[in-house]
Amino acid sequence: MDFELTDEQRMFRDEVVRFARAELNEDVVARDAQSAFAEKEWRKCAKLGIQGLPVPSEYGGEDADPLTIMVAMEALGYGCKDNGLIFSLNAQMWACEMPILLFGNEEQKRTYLPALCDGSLVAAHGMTEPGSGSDAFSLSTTAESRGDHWILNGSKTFVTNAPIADLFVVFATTDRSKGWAGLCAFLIERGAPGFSVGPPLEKMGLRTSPIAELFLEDCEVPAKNLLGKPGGGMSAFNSSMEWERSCILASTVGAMQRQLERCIDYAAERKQYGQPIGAFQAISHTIVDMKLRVETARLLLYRLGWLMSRREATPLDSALVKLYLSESYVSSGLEAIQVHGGYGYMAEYELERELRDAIGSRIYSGTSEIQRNVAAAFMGLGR
Amino acid sequence: MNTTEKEKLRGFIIDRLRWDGASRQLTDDYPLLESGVIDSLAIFEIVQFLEDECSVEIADDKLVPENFATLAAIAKLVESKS
Repeated sequence: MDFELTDEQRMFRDEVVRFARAELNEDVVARDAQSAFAEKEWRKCAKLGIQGLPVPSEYGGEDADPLTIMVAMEALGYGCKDNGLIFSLNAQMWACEMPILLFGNEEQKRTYLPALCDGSLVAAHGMTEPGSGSDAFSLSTTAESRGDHWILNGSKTFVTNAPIADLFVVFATTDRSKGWAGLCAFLIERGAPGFSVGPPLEKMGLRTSPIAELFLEDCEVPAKNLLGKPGGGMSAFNSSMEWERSCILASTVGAMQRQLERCIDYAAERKQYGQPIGAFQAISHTIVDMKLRVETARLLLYRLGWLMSRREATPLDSALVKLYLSESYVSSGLEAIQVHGGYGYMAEYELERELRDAIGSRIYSGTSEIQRNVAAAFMGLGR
Repeated sequence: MNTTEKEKLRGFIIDRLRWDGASRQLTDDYPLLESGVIDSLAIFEIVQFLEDECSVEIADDKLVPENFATLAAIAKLVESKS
């Protein structure tokens, strides 16, 4: 087993860090306070190739392998302090681009993927409903075939990117009694008859990533906008969730590394009782724990990337990565604040925001509890 | 899918999934989806089983209800990949 990065991966990682530090960190404190999306920075990310990382070059992407994608996203999380921007990028890449890539027909791929890669289109994914979250397949949004078009009725909530998105991947059922077997996925363009987006929702963290509800009232969707086969919605959803669980927290490994380095620097500079606080074991041991956490998180992530490249990854592997990275990220955020004391609690030090941003990771893309359920099932337990 | 592999799959469903009945009731045409034996998570457990035991690769776009409705349907899916 060799986890040495190639020269190309190292060069790309360094390029992403330089880019992120130089281009993505302007006014993050203010934008967080205003819940403002970084539109200009989104386009800059596209120009570098971030949105196109998992997409083949024939559709305008970078055709990167899973490990390279993870290294690049880790580098983005290390260099960029706007976790909301990164979350919006992830929401599009895994839950919108991947289902189009894996389940779209040639026309759908050629229509949408190049524009999603070059930043001219933004996409959002609508699955969660007011009455269905972890039990995702109990959704109540309906789809009825009317020959050359479908009629959708229902609503979606917690739709990341909805306020700014041009394209929506939306799930609905043709027959609720069939459960997951009745699920279909649709591509809906903003402006479709009967389709509307609610006002932005306020949230605790990731405030620079806009989020809203969707409303479908006799929403008319052309038949050609069905994504995959009728009844294939479960597969489209689960496969994109598999990519999301695997990759969405790669950036947090970079963010944890950044927090660790800040804590080391601060512990060396900050003096109390006549010596640097790093000389006190209460501080040094905390920082060692942070180091241990980021190293194990990185190993687990890279191992998954390696397994994915060999087509040997299972839902157990991705569930463990999602679970461990999210829990580690929250712990790292708490400890970074504790090391910095009162300063860590202040907005201008940008550690309190990091913690607010981290907490959502235990909830989105399947809660930590659901990840444990998935892992337990694949270990032969818990059914 | 040979007989041994099919019997192993039958055993896997009985032992690992939501199967409460007698083993003889799990016939080739027993409705696995309608009865709730195979839920959305179980499909991926079955795919894992098939890939390990039958040395086939099941693409994501094959994970549709008709391919998992019964044991016979699953066997047909595996045979189409062999």
